[in-house]
Amino acid sequence: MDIRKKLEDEIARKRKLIEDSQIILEKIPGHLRQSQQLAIDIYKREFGVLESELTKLEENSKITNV
Amino acid sequence: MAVINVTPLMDITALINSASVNEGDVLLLEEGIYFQSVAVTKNNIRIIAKGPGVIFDGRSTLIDAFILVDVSGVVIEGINMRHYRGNGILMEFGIGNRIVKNKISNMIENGIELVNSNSNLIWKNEITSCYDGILLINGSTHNWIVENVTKECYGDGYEAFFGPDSNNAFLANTAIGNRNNGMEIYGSNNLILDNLLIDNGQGVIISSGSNTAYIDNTVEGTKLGTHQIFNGYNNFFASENYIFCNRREGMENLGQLGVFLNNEILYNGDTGILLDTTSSGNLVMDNVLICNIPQNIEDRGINNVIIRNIERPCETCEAPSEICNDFPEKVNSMDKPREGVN
Repeated sequence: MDIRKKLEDEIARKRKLIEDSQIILEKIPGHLRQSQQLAIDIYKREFGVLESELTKLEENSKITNV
Repeated sequence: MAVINVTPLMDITALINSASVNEGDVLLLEEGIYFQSVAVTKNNIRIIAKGPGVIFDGRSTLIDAFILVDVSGVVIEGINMRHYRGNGILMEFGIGNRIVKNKISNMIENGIELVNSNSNLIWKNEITSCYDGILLINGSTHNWIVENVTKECYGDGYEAFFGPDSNNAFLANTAIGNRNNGMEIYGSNNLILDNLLIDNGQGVIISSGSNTAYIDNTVEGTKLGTHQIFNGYNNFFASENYIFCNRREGMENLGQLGVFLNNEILYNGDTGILLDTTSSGNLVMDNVLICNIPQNIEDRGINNVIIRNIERPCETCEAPSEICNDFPEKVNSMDKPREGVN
């Protein structure tokens, strides 16, 4: 698979997971929310790393095309 | 070191965070159904199922069954996990943890996901109907993925996501009927040894790095590409693999300076070994290729060396589709030639 598409797909999946998780967090019993929030925080960090990888890839591709 | 009995009614995260649990303690889980997510933030905690009936059920509401953050030496053993919205086990910044003999099914995300985690052992887990079975991502290195089974996952059986996910070992794992790849392994210096990949969408993808060794694996019944090495991948080493009855090429190599040695590539529905246009400087030697359609080896690349291979074309009226329909009895009963032309 093309690396750019692979990154874009994974970013889209993670974005949806984070959005869905935040919605469902409100329906979870209070004592379970802390661990759920911990998971969401991990997904957000992961999302950030993937986005920066994609940005790097795009910048490299611009340099190559110049 | 204490052994602490745990029941489904206890909040395990709160228990671990309390002063009554210390490093080296064993949490022995009674059988029953647990509706909770466990966050492990203390080192060397051993979470062990007392019997086969320990079930973590997220009821399609909770996100992950177990979350390990910045811990080492944690053991999670013998637990069933099902119906979470995220992963069975999510680990970030973990080192030297042991994930052993768990059964994980029906996760919307992955069975086990390691994020920027190193030197962990993932052993004898059974993962069914998740997205990826086991995913290594964001710089997960030096992990041992051993004797796991992934089955009927929507994505890949095993995935090392990107170049920084390097120096991992995938040993004696099985991937059956996964929709995407049996193994999608990016990165450098990974060891892929003695795995069995059957009836996956694709077999193996190798990309973004160099120096991976791929030895003694069996790949059968893939529906799309069987084994693809991407352009730019240097010094890939494939030896003693058994690749048969796949719908497309046995091996498609777009990489450079690879070595393909002593592989058996039989009855595939496309070329046995295809050295594609970008391939160069590869050595293809001592392989056995039988009845791959339209030909056993095709070289479209530059400066590839093809020597001492044993090739046999299809016999009259022989076709991979017919042979493979009768598999395994027919293929296994054939004497594979050890000497021949080329």
